[in-house]
Amino acid sequence: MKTTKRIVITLLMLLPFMGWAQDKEATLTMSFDIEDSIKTAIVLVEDAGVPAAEVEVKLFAERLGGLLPLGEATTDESGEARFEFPVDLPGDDQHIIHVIAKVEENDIYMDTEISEDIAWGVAPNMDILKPLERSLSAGRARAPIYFILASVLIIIGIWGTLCYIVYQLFRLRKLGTVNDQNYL
Amino acid sequence: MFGLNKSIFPEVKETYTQEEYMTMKDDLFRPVQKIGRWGWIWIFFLSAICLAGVYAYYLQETESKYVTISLRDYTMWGVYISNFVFFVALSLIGVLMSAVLKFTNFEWYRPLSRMAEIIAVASIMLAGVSIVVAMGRPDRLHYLFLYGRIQSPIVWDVIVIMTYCVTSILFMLLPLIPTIATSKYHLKNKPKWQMKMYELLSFGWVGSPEQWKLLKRSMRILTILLIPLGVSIHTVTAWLFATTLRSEWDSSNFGAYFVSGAFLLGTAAIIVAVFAFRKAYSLQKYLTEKHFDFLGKTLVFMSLIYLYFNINEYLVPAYKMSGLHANHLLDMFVGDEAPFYWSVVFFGILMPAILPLFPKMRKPLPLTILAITVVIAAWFKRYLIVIPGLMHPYMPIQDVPESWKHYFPSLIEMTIVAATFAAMLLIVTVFSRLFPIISVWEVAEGNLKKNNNGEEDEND
Amino acid sequence: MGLLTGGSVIAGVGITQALQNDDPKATGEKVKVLTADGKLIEVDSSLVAHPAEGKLKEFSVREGIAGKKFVMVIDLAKCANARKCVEGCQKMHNMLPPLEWIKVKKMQDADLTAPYWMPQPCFHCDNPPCTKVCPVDATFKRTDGIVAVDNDRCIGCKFCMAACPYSARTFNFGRPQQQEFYEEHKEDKDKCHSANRAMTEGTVSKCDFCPEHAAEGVLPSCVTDCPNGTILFGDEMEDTVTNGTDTYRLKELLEKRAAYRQFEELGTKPRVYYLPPVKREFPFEDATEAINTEE
Repeated sequence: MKTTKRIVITLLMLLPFMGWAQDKEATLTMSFDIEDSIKTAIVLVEDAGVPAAEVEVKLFAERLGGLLPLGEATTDESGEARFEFPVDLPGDDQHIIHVIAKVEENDIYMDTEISEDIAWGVAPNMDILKPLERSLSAGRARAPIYFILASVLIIIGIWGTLCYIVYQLFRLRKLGTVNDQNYL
Repeated sequence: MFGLNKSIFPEVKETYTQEEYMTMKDDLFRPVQKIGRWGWIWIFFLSAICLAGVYAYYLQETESKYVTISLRDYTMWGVYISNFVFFVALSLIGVLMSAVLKFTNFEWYRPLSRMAEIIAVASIMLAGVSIVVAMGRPDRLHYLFLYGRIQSPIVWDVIVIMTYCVTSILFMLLPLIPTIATSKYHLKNKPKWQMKMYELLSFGWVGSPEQWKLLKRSMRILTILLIPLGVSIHTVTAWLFATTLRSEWDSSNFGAYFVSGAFLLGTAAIIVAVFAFRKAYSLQKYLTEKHFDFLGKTLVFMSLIYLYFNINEYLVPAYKMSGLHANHLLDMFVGDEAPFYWSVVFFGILMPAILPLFPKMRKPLPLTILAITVVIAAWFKRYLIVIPGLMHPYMPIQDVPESWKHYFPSLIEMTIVAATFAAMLLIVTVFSRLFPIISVWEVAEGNLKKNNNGEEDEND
Repeated sequence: MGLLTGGSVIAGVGITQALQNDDPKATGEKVKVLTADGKLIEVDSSLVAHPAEGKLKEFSVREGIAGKKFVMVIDLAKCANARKCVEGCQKMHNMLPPLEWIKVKKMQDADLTAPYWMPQPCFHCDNPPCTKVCPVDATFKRTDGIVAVDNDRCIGCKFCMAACPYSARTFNFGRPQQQEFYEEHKEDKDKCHSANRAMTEGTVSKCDFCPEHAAEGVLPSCVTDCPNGTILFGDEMEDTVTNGTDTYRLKELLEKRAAYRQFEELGTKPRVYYLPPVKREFPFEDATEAINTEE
């Protein structure tokens, strides 16, 4: 009887600690290494300095408006989760990728994350961004050269003729005053 | 005395008698000399319609366009654009009557060239007006010149229209100079401003051999220039549609199709003009039944050419019935637009191709009635090219308000279109009251040639 | 319980802070934010910022956002005609029905094939038929892939509208209710700048891929408002598209799901890809009522 009471009281005393169990904070450290010529991201999960095993870690790359999942891994006994880093992921112009490691929805630990920049991105395909070339769709400053040439030549040709005709009109007037004789 | 100097016309063996020439001048200057009661009524009537149009435009620009006109997102081009196409087509009348015929030695064109030219000039101006009326921001019209993109068909159209307008004005002005010079002496009791105008526009014309040489040479250059320009203007207008991906307009035929239609319209319009001037100004001696005979035959010829292009434009796609074209073709042939479409084809193409084959139909009155129906059908044909073209986009029209699903021009649009017609007629009328509508010296020249060739005088 | 209360307080503080924050870059400061469906997530505080607040004072419609080339993927297997994309876009740009920059169309390719709902914004084509024909350079292709409209330059000729084979553009005819609404809401801080540009009567406007959002790394309203995550948006340079929740490698997604572009044969090279409605998440349901009936 007394033992049962003691056990119940001990359990009752332990209860709050169980309830507060998710409030354990884990610290994450991210490092990068090339192992067996494979680019690897290593996330170390520690619980107050002690490596935490069997913790699920997710790796993301930060992209426009969202996080691209790069993989999931579980920490081993040394608290390290290893991720194979993709070799063809475009980074920014300095090849940098902002990598985020998260521990989410874990029974023991609070949601935490850590992010690091690593220059393992490939150069983005600059062909996509090739400067806007001269074309029919382009702005007014970028019309195709042949087009500009042809248009200008035609316009000058025709308006030149028209100007010549107008000039002739004024010569007509001059011719009229040169000769006094009026044929009308 | 109109000196037909032998150094210019070495082949001339006789000159005009003074009497014949004076009668001709009297006849042709009479409408300029005196404007009768009906003449004034006509001018005021046209001016009233023009003013109504200006007021309608004022309403359109100051009130919401959503309320005043029927344009919506799918039918964003309406009667203003089809009217614009019509007027550009009509402006080719100058090319047809003056330039082409000048080269073909068909002498009967001579009395018609000036009226054709003024109709052309008036039409091209009203085409410009029609386009500006259709713009959403007419206050930014100058952007076309400040920021214009040479790759845009609209910019091509603006350039060609301006060029053609200037060329047509010059083409009309040059042969007018000898007549203006004559006007100074022939007209009596005219207001001072009018006489001053003649003085200015006569460019010091005295009729010397050097002046004639200069004039003839300049006219020849302009004639050569006008033909490709005129063809370009309507081809570029056709390209406003053909450079888009819309199935109705995605046709390599469009340029030629439009130009051939313009020639048909021009022939019909000149028939109406000849009849009107003949009646109104009593010019039966100069615009004879022979002219109607020739014009009737020309009408048949132009209709057949236009018919050929229509067959290529519509029947060949109909044979294929490609998914891209099926909707609008079926709509026009057997669907909602069918009665409209077939009437236009019948009255606008088939009738003028067949009826004038009968000599009785080439008499002035029957031919003119036919020509009027052809002109009306031609206007509706342009409507049928523009609006059904917009009602069948590639992506289906779904879930939109009722007014977005159909197009029928609003009262304001119809008023403005009517006003463009009235303005065109007004320009032509006022011109014909300031200058003789038949070119005196060109007719005289033609008669002289005929006289010297020993043929009977056409003017009997 | 305590967590939730604490979280919403922090979220509130975070949002207020972000509103007053002038720095557009990622602040590194993590903020817990409550999402619409009750999830508590942590985001960088800059992402909580509202687009129009002071950050884009010098927004230029002609300059593309450097180093980016926007692309959109629409998963037709997921579209259920919820029209939240339409409404979100309308709200963000002060538009009233029937004005729509993104339309949801019921499509059926053949008699025997299944119908499907197709959201259709402007495709921002790489070979745009609309920019070709503009007479005054009022519509143009930017370096970031966006085909934009400069409402201060547009002369209202509507040639671009005639040229677009997708009927993606709309014209401001000055519909009275719409103009009033624009006037009333033109000072709103939480709307896109393009709302005020489209207000210009007599000019053309259309979907613009929300560049003001994209410059901040925020997704356009049509993407975030869709309850099914149908629309995915991203930067082709990053080879990624996302609807906020699901993120994919672009090339992989297009290949795996056999993506296509609408009317490819017209040669317009649209920047919006469609994933065919295979393995649909739910059966097709027809619309029961017409939405845009008011004139």
